Parts: sequence; structure tokens; C-alpha cells
Amino acid sequence: MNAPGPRARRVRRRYVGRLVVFMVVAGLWMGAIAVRLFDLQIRGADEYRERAARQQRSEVVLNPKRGTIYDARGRSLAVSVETHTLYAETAKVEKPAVVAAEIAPLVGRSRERIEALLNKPGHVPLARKLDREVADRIDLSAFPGLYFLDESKRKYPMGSLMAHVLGFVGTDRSLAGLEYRYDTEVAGEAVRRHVLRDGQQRLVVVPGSLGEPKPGADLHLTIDATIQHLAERALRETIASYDASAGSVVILAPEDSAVLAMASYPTFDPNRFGDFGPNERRNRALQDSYEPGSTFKTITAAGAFERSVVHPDQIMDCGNGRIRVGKARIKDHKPFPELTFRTAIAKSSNVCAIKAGLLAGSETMQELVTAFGFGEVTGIDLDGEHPGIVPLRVWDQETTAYASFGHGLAVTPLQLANAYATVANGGVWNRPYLVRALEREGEVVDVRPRNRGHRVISKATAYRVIRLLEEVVVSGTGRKAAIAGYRVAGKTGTAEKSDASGYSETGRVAGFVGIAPARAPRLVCLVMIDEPTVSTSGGEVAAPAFQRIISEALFYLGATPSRQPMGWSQPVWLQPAPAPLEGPPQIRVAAAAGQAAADQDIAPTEGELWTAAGSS
Amino acid sequence: MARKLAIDKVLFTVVVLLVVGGLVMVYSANPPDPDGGFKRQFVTQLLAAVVGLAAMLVLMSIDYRSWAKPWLAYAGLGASLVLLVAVLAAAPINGSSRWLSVGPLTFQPSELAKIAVVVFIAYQIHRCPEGVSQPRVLVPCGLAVGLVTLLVLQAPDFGSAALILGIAGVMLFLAGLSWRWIVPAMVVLPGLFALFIWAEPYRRERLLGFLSPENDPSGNGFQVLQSLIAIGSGGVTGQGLGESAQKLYFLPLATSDFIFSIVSEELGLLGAVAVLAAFAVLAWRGYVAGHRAPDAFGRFLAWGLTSAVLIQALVNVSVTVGLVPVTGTPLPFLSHGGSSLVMTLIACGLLLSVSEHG
Repeated sequence: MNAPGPRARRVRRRYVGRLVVFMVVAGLWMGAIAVRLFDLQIRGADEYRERAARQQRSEVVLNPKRGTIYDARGRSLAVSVETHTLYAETAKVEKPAVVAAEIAPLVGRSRERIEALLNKPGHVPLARKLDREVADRIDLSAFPGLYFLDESKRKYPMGSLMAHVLGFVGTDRSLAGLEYRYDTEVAGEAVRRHVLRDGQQRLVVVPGSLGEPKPGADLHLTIDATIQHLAERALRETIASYDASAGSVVILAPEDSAVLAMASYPTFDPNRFGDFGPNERRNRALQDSYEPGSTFKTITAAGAFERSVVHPDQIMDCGNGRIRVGKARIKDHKPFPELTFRTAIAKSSNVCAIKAGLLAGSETMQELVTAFGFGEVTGIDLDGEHPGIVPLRVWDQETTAYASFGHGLAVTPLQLANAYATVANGGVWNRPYLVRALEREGEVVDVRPRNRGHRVISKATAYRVIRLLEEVVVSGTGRKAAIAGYRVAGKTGTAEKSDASGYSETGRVAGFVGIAPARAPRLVCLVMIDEPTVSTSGGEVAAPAFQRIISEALFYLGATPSRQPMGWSQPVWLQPAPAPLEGPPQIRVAAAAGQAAADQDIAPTEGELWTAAGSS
Repeated sequence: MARKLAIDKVLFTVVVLLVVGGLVMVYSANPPDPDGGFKRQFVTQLLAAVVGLAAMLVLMSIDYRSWAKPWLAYAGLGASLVLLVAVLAAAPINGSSRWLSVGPLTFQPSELAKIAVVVFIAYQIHRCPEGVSQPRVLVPCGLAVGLVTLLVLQAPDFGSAALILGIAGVMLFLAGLSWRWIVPAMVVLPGLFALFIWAEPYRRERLLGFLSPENDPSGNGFQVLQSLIAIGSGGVTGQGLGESAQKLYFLPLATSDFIFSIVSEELGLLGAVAVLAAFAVLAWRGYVAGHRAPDAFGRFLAWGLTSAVLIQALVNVSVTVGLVPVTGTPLPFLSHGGSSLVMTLIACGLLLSVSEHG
């Protein structure tokens, strides 16, 4: 270095002073930056990490395919089809107003709504679940920023057929019927994938993109679409010809109460469920309860036979249409002279039914009504079931008398049909059910109710009740239910509708519940017509509908015609069975000895009859 | 003649480390090419680094005093002015005429102007050993800086103009400019600045966006907010090299003006402090080199160039941490940008030459 002179040294000192000032300023500046970094990266780290995650991460839900619902013969009732949801990446949409004006008519939404959506930031669904044809009409190349994503949509290829049973699925969730009840199984499992988004909302990374959505299980129903169709058609036509307000049909397989058909009217189309109100969507077969009327006399007869207090051929005084029970005076629908019990039931004498019920006793009747499942939901695999109304207090004579001809209590069509199924199968109450199997990826799982039902009445009683009910169809009020070639057992019922102010003058419920073929039951069918106008009796209104449905159904099922249609043949459940029988000892003898012995053994002796009758 | 000293190994090492670190960060911050090609920004940066380092090696082996010629000072200035005029005539890129295209190469004349201004002022101070507070020095300096600044403003490149003005001010301040000049300048210039900012709506919005970034996260406050999110989410140790999520189009200019945010996100507080420390060491060695320089030209060349790099770095980092409004100043060595890297390395070559020949 040169030896600087004194002036140069002074100058350099001054430089150094200025340099120190500048370096102090720069140092302070750097210090400020360091403090700021500390503030951001140590104190604020958690907050900023969360903010970063919020804008970078997002969840993409991959929806599974919803399971198909099949009828008993494998016909598709509810299927999921691919549809296309129109999305817009709004940042890329030029002239939202123009796009909205062009798109809105194609997708069937209002122009204002589409435009409002297009003015939102990010990725916005403009129209959900469009069908292929609709989607094809939209030329995406003409609308930059618009794109489609596939989504599945529920379709019901059979339209309104068994709409109440199937229910329906809304845009994102199931709302009613089996769709709702079995949603956990049918919906499948969606997969939520965490993905990173970039600043332009594009998906960038899919870390751990494992797992495909699990498709939903298929449902196999007990309902046969053909039988269901027969039921719905007859129901619709009957309601039309009698100008009735509503109605329902329930068909059960008596051996295990599998539901073969369940129809309710008015009905709706689940493909456009939004167009219908609660009145159409109501499943009257189990959501409404009615006073059963004379159809309930079957229960009374079962009680009387079970206690052996009445013999079918016993002469009973029908009191010329009047009876006094306690303080109540009950009139019959028309006066009857002395009749055998069989004929009295065939002609539907209330007085006679009351006498039988009182002979059986209040306690027996109350127990039996409960054992048949009245007053409690059946537990079928559908929601919204009504339990019906059965007086809970200990029954007195009047309650029993009214209940004996089906008054003073309310039952759902399903409960009543199931009680007849109980009689038809020899006395065992089973829980009715609609879904027999779930099919998951080819693996079929049996989901029928596992525990056997409980015995309500003996086989002998059941058999006698059926013989009694045969007479109704042969010569009584149910003659219009008779089917050529088959024995049919059944009971008519015409009940007055009650409301808050008491029994109504005009409102009637016409019903018929039948078993066919009577001696080898394959079908139990209830027909209930609400407020028919031209005629109101069960025998005139409901019995013909039963006849139409069941004659065609038996033909469809290829049921063997009864060997002695008008005579006697042994019910299947009385034929020798491999399993030990549960009935009383004399039935076993009867089963082995054949029909004559059976008739002899289970019939109460004359002495018993008179004792029982005299004691009332 | 001064004896030839050994090269400043610390300074040289810091420069090389910054260049290498810059390449790594540009590689990391460069988002995947949408067309599927290789990271283009990284490739251009690598080429610029090679060219710049070669220029640095050449310059550091030449005695800086051979540059202390009047013709060179004026020629450098003249060339800068010509190029600055030429760039205004060129087609604008991103709404501003900052870049000059020659075939596949683009060049930013304002980067050359920075060095030319430093050399020019250093020469003027060198020319008048009596002091700088006299018209003989101030008039040519004022004219040169004024012209360059006005032309750069036309680009418009407010950040570079302010930077050139600041570097010139710092050089004159260090040269012992009388307070009689400094005080009025410190009153008048900020006033002019305020007026200038307020006159242009986009600058005003930038300033307002800076004052309250939360109010408008998708508009002008967006860049700063995204930068803060990047830096904050880095924490102490960072997300890991290459793991930045903010670079995926959240943070605009992730490879250039906001590369420090990516450094902070990927390498955390440790990485951020390391970058600051590197600039501190560079500044320290630069000022020491100037202090040891035997003549005024060498001293002010070194101090001017060191100040230019330091101030740019401080301004850029201050922008990323939200201390200063967005100016568009790159971070020397690290930000993607060929002109900036080559010119910074040329400055380092001169700086090393001063340290070597002190």
C-alpha cells in the first residue's frame, strides 16, 4: 500500500465513519428481517402450516356404484346408471352471461342460477347427474372451462312397480323404502382421497392413492315382479271401478311370511319422486292402520277352537241380530236365526262371533291377539311401520265382544295378512321380510330372519280355522273369491272408518284376506280397499280383486289344482313330516291316522261343548 | 503500484456457494413443465451461471485499475443508455419493456446499467480527490443517474430505478457527501417517490395491498400472502428440499422474485438464515476489500458493487417477508434470471479483482 498522507488519512477516516453508519443501518435492516423470519417461522409456523394445508389439500370423494335390487327371479328393479355432472372451472369461463344463456336451456335450469354459479370462484357443479343424451347435446369445445365428471344415478326400470317397497334415492342420499333401510349395504363405501391442489386448483399429487370405492351389495328380494304386477293392476282397477280413495294388497308366502307382493295405492314413480306428495308415497300396507272388522273373526274362531269351546257344527243362537254385553247393545248387520258356527262365520254374524269370543274368554282373546302380533310392529325390513292399536288394559267383556268382530282395535294390512299366514302355515307366527339375500362381489349372503317364529295356535286349531274359512268362500260372503280348480279359504270384512269424532257414516273399508290353495297353502293375500263408493262390502269389492290376483298368480306359479276342490284333502302341514311335531299329542295321532281320525280326535266332545257354552 | 495480494478465498467461496445454492433452488422451485419438458428455467440458469463464472474468472485476473479510464466510464454509461432506449422500442413482455431479445437470448439492460452507474460514479469520485460535494462531481453523477433512472422508469421498472438511485446515493454518502446535500435530498426524494407512486394506480394498489394483504388475498395482497404462507409453513427445519407445495402455482414468480420464500419453506429458518449470512459475509468481505483498496476508484468500485448486491438482497428478502411493498427486485445469485446472474457475477469479478490487487 502507498503510505497515505495526512490528508488522505483524514479522508479515509471520514470514509470509515460513513461506512460504519451505513453498515449499522444495513445491520439493523437485516436484524429486522431476522426478527420477522422468527415471527413467521417459529411463532406463526403452526398457523401458516394450517393455512397452507387448507389451500393445498383437498378431499376428492370417489363414489361407489350403488348395488342393484333384484326381484325373486333376478329381474332388475333398481339400477345405477352412469350420469354426467357438468362442472365449470369458473376462472376459465369467458363471458359467464353468454355461457349461462346457452347452457341453461340444455340442462333445464334457469339462466340466472347458472350465471350465479359461474360467478363463484373455483370448480362449481352447474348441473348434477345429467343423462347421456343431455350431456351429448353440450359441446364442451365451445365452452372453455366446462367439463363433465361421471356420477351414478338411480333408475327404476319398472317405473312405479313396488315403488313403496323400493323407495328412492335423492341426489346424494337414499330417502325411503328398501333403499333407505339397506342403504349401508347398497350404497357401498366411498373413498376419500387426500390430494394436493396447485394454485390453479388442479389436482397435482395423490399421495397414498390406494383403495377403490367399494361397490354396494345387490339386494335379492322375496317379491316377484309378476305377482306384484298382478296385485297392483287389480288394486288399481278395483279402486277405479269403485271410486275408492286408496287401498293396499299384501301377498305373503305362508311358510315363512316372505313378502311376495306389497302394493299400495295411490302410488308414485320413484324415477321422479319429487313430483309426488306424501299421500302417494305412503306405504299403506304397513304405515296405516285400520279397524279390521269381520276379517278379524278368524282370530276369534282361532281362540274358540284353541280353547275347544266351540265346535264348527255347533248350533248357535244368533240372537236375531241383537246381543247385550254388559252395558253395550250390539246390533248385527242383519238378523240371523239359529245357525251352525260354520254357517254363522260364513255369513259373518257379529253376534255369533261375540259369543265365540266370550266363550273363549277375555284373557285368551287378549293373549291371542297379542300373540298374532297385533299392537306391535312386525319388524319387517322397512321403516315407518305402524304398530296398530290394541287396548293395553286387561280386557273386560265389552272389549272382548267388540274385538271378536274386529272393532275397537286397529291393525295394519301387513299385520292382518301375517296373522292369516300364521293360520295358513299351521300356527307359527313368522316375521315378514322382503330381502332374502345380499350379493357382494359375487358372494351371496342369506339374510332371511334366522330364528324360527313362535307358535301361536296349535296345528289342529289352524286346520279347523282354515276349514271354517273355506265355507266363507264356498257358501258365505266370500263367494266372489272362489277360484275354479282350487280350494280357497278366506274372510270378508267391511269396517266403518273411525275418526276423532267416532265412527263415520259413509266411510267404509272393504277387505278380504284369503289363503290359496286352502289345503296346501302357497299364497296368503290381503286386499283392502279404502272408502269404496258404489258398493262397500268386502265380499263385493275386495273378494273379486283377490280372485283375480290369486287365480292368475296360482297359474303363474304353476300351483297344483286341489284334488278335491269342493271336498276334503289333507293340508300339507298335516301330512307326515320328518321333524318331530310340536302340536298336542292327539295331532300326532291324527297325522299318522289320517283325516277321519284327525277330525274325530281334535273335535271336542259334545259334553265339553255344552259345558263351555253353558258356563257363559 | 500496489502489490498483488492473494485472492480473497472467503469472498470467492461465498460467491460460488451462492451460485450453486441458487442453481439448486431454481431447480427445486421450477414447477414441472406443463408440456412435459425438462425444467427450462433451470437450464437457462445453469447456462447463465457458466457464462457468469467464466466472466468472473476473467475479470478477477485483470487489474481493476485498467478500468479506471474516462472512456470506459462514459462508454459503459453510453452503452447502457443506448440499450435502455432500444429496449423501450422492443416488444413488451408481461406488459413491460425490460427485456431485449437477441435470437434465443434475452437481456435486461437495467442490470448492465447498475454496474455502469457504479463504475461511472466510482470514476467521478476517483477523479476529484478533493471531495464529492462539488458540482464537478455531482453534476455528471446527477445527470448520469437521472438519465438512467428516467429511462428505466419508462420500462416501467420502478424497482430497478429506485435501486439505481439508492446505490448512487449510498456511494455518494460513503464518499463523504456533505450533509448540506444529504438532508435536502432526504426530504425531497421521498416526497417525489410518494407522488410518483400515487400517480400510477397499479403502484398505489400494490402499496395498499402491501399494507393490508389479508383484505384482498386474491388480488394485490395475493403474492405477499402466499409468500408469508410459504415462509411460515417452513418452520425451523423446513418441509425438505424439493417439498415445497407453494411453488405449485400458488406463489407467483416462485423461481425469481419469491425464491427466498421457497428457500424458507423448503429449508426453514435455518436455510433462510444461512442465505442471509452468506450475503452478510459477502458484504463484509466486499467492504473490507474496498477499505483496503489503494485508490478511490477501487474503494468505491468495491463499495458500490457490494452495496448494490446487499441492497438488492435486503430489498428482495424484505418483500418476501412482507416488510416492504412488492417492487420486482430479484434476489442476487438465487433468483432465476440470466442477466441478473451474469451481471452479479461480473460485479463479483470486479470485487475480487479489487480484493486481489489492493
